[in-house]
Amino acid sequence: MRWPASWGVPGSRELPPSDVNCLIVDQSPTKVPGIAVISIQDAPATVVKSPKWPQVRMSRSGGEASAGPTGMPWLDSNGYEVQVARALHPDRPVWLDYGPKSATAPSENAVRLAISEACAYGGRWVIRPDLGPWPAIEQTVDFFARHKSWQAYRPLARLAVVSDFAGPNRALAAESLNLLTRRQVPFLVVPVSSLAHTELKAFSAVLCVDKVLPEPLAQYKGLVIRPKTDDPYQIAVDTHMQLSRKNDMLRLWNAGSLNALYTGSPDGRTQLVQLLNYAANNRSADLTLGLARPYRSARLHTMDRPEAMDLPITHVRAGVELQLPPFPVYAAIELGE
Amino acid sequence: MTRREFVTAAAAIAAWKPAFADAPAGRVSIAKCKTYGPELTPTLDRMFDQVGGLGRLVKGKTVAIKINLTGSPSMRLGHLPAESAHWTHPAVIGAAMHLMDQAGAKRIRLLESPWSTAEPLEEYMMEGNWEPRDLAGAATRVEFENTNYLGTAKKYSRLTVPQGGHMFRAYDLNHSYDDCDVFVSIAKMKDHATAGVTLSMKNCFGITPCTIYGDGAGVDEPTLKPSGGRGSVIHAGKRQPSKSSLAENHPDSPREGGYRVPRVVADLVAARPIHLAIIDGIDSMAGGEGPWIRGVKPIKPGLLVVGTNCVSTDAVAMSVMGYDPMADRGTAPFETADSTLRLAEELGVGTRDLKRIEVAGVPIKDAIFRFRG
Repeated sequence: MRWPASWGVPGSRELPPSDVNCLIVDQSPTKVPGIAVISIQDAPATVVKSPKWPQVRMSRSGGEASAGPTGMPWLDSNGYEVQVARALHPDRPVWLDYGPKSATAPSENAVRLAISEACAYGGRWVIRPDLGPWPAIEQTVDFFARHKSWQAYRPLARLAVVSDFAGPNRALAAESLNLLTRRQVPFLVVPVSSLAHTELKAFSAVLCVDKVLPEPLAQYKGLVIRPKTDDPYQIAVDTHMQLSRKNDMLRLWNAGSLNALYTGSPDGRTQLVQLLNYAANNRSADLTLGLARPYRSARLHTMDRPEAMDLPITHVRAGVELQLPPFPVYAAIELGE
Repeated sequence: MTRREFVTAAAAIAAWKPAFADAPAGRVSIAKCKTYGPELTPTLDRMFDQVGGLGRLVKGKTVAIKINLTGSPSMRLGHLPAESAHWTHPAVIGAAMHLMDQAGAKRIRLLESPWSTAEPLEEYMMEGNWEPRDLAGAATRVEFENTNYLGTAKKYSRLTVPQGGHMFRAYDLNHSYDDCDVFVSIAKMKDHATAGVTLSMKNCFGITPCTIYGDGAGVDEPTLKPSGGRGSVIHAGKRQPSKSSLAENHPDSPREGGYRVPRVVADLVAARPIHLAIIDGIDSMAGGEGPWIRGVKPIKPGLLVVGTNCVSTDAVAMSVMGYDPMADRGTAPFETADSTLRLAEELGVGTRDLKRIEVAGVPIKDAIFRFRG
C-alpha cells in the first residue's frame, strides 16, 4: 500500500483492516512494527513504468470516447505491460503503482477496475487508500485473494510474440501487443531470452517486430510474421489476417470497451476468460462470448454477485456461445469441457 | 421561329415522355418461408421458376452476387447473430448459389465491401461466425472478393450512368462489378434510417469502394486500403471523392443524406443493372438497418421476394412491409428522404407502379408484414 504523504509519518495512523504487509513511502523509510516500509525503488518486484490509469480515453473536447482506426473506443490499459513484465522476470511479482492523472477523485468502479486489471493479468496494484472508499478497495482485493489460483494460469494462445522488449524494439512490440489485445487475439509473450525454452511448434504463428530477427527464429520453419510497417495498428491487423480468423480462440460481440484475457490452469483442466470493462461506470450490454472449444460448463463470477452463476451454453457452428448478463468492471468465466 | 420550326418543336414536345412512363416492369415472386431450414431451397427454386427460370439467366455465365454484410461483424442486435437481424443469411446465399450452379452457372463470385478493411471477404465472414467453406462448397466454382478497394485488378472499372446520373456521371468500382455476365443483389428486407428502406437497390450502395468514396479516401488518388464509411463523401457531401474519379454533377446540391444517398443508389443500379434481385425477409429487424440505430427491434416476417427488375422487386417488397411504393419524401417510410424507387424509375431502371407489376406466388395482401405495426 502506498502511504499517502498527507497522512504524515508512516505508522502515525492506524491502517484499515487488511492484509497489507508493505508500505510504500515517498519520504525516508521509517520502521513500523510488523510491516515493511520501503521506497518504490527498493520494491521486491518489477514495477511497471509509466502505467496508465485504465479507462476509455475521451476525446479532447470531452463527451465522446476517442476512437482508434477501428472505430472502437481507445482504451488506456496496462494488461500487456504486465504480461511483458511477467515474461521478462517470471520469478518476480509485478506491481502497478499509480493513480489517475485527473485531480478529481475516481469513482468506486474506476478504482475497482484499476485493481481488477492488475490482478487479472497477474500483477498487483499498489493500494492507494486516499483514492477511493476503502470498502470498494477491500472488496476487490478480497475477490482476487479468493481466486488467487487464477494468477498462476497461463495464457492460451495460438500466437507467440517474440521480442527482446528493449531499446528501439520495446515501444513497437508493446504497442503491437496492446492492439492485438483490442482485436481479442490471445498471445503468449516470449522474450528472446526465453526462446530456447519455448516450444514454438505449439503456436500457429510467431510475430517478431524486432529490427534484427533472433537467431533461433531465423532457423524456425513455422510461420514467422515479420511486419513491413512500423504502424502497430497495421501490424495487429496484418498479424490477425496472417494468423487467420480460423485460429480465433474467442470472439466477443458488442464488446466496444472490453478487453479479454484467456488463460488455462497449469493442470489443463480449467480454462478462464476474464473480461475487463474499461467503461467502468457503464455496465456491459448484450455481450456475447464465442469460444472455439466445445465447452460443456461455464460459471460466471462478477463482483456484484455474491455467488457464481452457471451460464447456459449455445452450441454453434464455430464452437459455443455464451450470452453474458450486464456487469460493471469485471467478469470471469470458468470453463470446463 | 418559322412555322416549320414551331411545328417540329411542338411535335417533339408531344412525343417526349419522361423515362419513368415506360420504365420496364419485371415479374416478382413472393413466398412465405418461416425458417432457413430445409424448406428454403425448394421455395427459392420455385420462385426462380416463377420469374422466368435461372437457366436462361446464368447458364455458362459468370455470376456476381452482392450480399449485404453491413456494419462491423463485432456488433449484434442484442445477442442475435448478424444474419438473424441485419445481414443476408448465409443459407439464402448458399441456396441461391446451389440453384445457380444446378442451372449451369460457370462461375459465381460473392462480393461485398466490408467495413473499413481490405482483408479477404472470407476472413470478414469468419469474424461474424460464418464458415465460408460452406459457401465455397455450395457451387462448383466459387470466388470471394472484397470490393471495398482495388482488389485483384490493376485498375478500377468506370461504370457510366445512362442519362448522366443524379449525383455522378460515372462511378469507379472494383472490377468484379464490370467483369461479370450476370449481376445479382441478395439483400435483407429492412428499414433504413437515411433512405427509408434498404432492399435490393440500396444493397448496392456498398459497391462503392471506400478507397475512393470513403471517409479516408485519397484526395488525388484512391488509397490502397479503405478506412471508415461513406459518411463524409456520399452521405454528407463534405468532400469530393478522389480526383481520379469523377466529381459530383451538382456541387451546389443539398448536403443532406436523405437527398444524396437515394440518388447515388439510383445512379448505381442504372450504371450496374441488377439482373436478379433476391430479398431475404425471413428474419430481419425493424426501425433501421443495423444494431447501431436506436430503437430497432428483431422481427420474423418469414418472407422471400424475388424478381428480375430491381425497382419492381423493391416496390413489391415495400408493399409487403406495409408501405406504399409510390410514397415519396414526407410520407412513410420516406419521412426525411427522397424515394430511391422514384429516382431509379426516372432513370428508366424500372417501374414501382404495382398496377404494372405482375406478382406470382403469394398475393401481396396475404403476405403483408407491417414493419411499423
